[in-house]
Amino acid sequence: MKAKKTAVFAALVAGLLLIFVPMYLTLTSSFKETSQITSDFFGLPNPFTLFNFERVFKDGLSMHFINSGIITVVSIALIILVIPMAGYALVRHMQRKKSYQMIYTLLIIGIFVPFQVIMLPLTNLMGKLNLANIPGLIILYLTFAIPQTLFLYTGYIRSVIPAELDEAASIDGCNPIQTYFKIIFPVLKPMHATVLIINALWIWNDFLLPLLMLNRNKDSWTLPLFQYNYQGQYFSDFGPSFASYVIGIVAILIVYLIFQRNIISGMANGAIK
Amino acid sequence: MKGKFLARNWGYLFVVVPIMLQLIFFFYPLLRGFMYSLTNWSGLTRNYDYIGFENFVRIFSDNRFITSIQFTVVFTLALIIGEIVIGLAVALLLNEKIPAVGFFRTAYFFPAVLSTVTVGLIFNQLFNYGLPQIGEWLNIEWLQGNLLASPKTVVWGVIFVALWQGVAMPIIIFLAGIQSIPTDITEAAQIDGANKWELFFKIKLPYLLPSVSMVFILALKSGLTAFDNIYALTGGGPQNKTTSLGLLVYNTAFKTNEVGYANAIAVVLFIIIVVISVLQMRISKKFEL
Repeated sequence: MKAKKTAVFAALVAGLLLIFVPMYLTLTSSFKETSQITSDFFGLPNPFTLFNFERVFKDGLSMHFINSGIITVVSIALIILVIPMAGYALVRHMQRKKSYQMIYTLLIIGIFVPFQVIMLPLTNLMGKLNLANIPGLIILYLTFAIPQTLFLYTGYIRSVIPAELDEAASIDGCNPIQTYFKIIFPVLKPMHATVLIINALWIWNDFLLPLLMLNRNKDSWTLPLFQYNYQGQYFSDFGPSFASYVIGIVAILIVYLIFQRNIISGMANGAIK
Repeated sequence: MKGKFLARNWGYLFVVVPIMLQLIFFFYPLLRGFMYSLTNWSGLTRNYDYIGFENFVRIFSDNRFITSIQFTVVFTLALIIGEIVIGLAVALLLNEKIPAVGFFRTAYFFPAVLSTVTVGLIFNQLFNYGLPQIGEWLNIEWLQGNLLASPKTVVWGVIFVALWQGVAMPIIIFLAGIQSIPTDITEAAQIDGANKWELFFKIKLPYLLPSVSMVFILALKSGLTAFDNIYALTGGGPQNKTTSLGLLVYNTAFKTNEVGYANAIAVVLFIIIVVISVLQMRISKKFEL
């Protein structure tokens, strides 16, 4: 039994190296001069330099970091404002009315459609509507969050929140809007957390939509878009690129370490349900 | 009067925003996408002609498409098999009672929260500067060049990077599945004398089938529509050897300016995904408990 545990432990340590070595190389490279990265990729920084970080901040990294933050926060706020409301209304009406069943199917069918099918007409449409910018991008995140998020909320409301709760509220004199915001919305808290996590990770890390919507206007680039264009721009002097990866990784690492339990269970909920 | 109106129609009021958004930004472009696939539109001009199914006929004699579908099939199969096998194996290890298991779980899940573009860019540099140096140290000739620059090895490089990040999520799903297996059932089987292989294949695996089919669907979709990490890692090269279907749609539209044709490729991709998903759901329904 003890030998088995040692073997499991050893296998896990070996796997861990595969995760850590690329992270170690990224971190050490960010403190190296570019010439040392090419000549001595695995060694410790010698000399140790903060030049890469100075340079990448001078080139506007903080602006793109803030863009990503604003886009993520506003999109999530809208997602949690708009989608659970619809989920609640659908669950309460679906069994009696066919029209609501149809609406539900219509809203959820996007799960099966690969983005590439709508990519080009959508890019065209957003350009025509003058929405190839940050507000337009936020609208798209809200739209594309609907299928999966709605699916999660309707499942949760159906199984956890009884209709008696609405009746009690209406006897106490609440109209449906008051019932929703005062009673139902707070009870949905566990699902809000799951929805927040899976959507925030997706939106913060997303690349293709910002590439399609924001690529022409440098000031509105998100962090991943900045990192991509930066590597292309400084092809021969890529030390600062490593600094930009480290900033992105450290930011998400901090969030991950603080909320890891919630993140892991949130991702599992989002994928399985 | 106002109160009565609200009481009767609040349901529609609550769903009106999502419906408007889906109609404008999803269904309208979807319809346009199908329409464009029947045109010769370049994306640059105002005018285009309807050319029927010409684009679809062209697809199957187009070398770029054939190379792309070969890569996409290999890549997707590797993702599906790799994510299920490695994901399940690591999840079983992480379910053992060993020291520091919490730390191991935290570390193994971490790649799932990283941006796929960042991961692609980082590995691009590692393949460029890291591996050749190892090759020099060990005096292995094929390692000394950039594996991503050679048409022979590039596919394996791309698969490695996709799995490096891609197995983290399946590990979460499988671990959750393993922990939901009732312990009295596994204990009963052990008392009845089941060895550990019987225990795994006859008791645990049937419980894990829903997780397996979930991972299958996720890996299938991410393989067939792969874009970010490959775009950052190889840009689809060398010699288009790693141009996934997802990337081919993008390149055909924006690099060679054939929006009509690109949409036809996207429609074919759509049909492939729908057919496989429907088949998969039928099959997994048969096997589930």
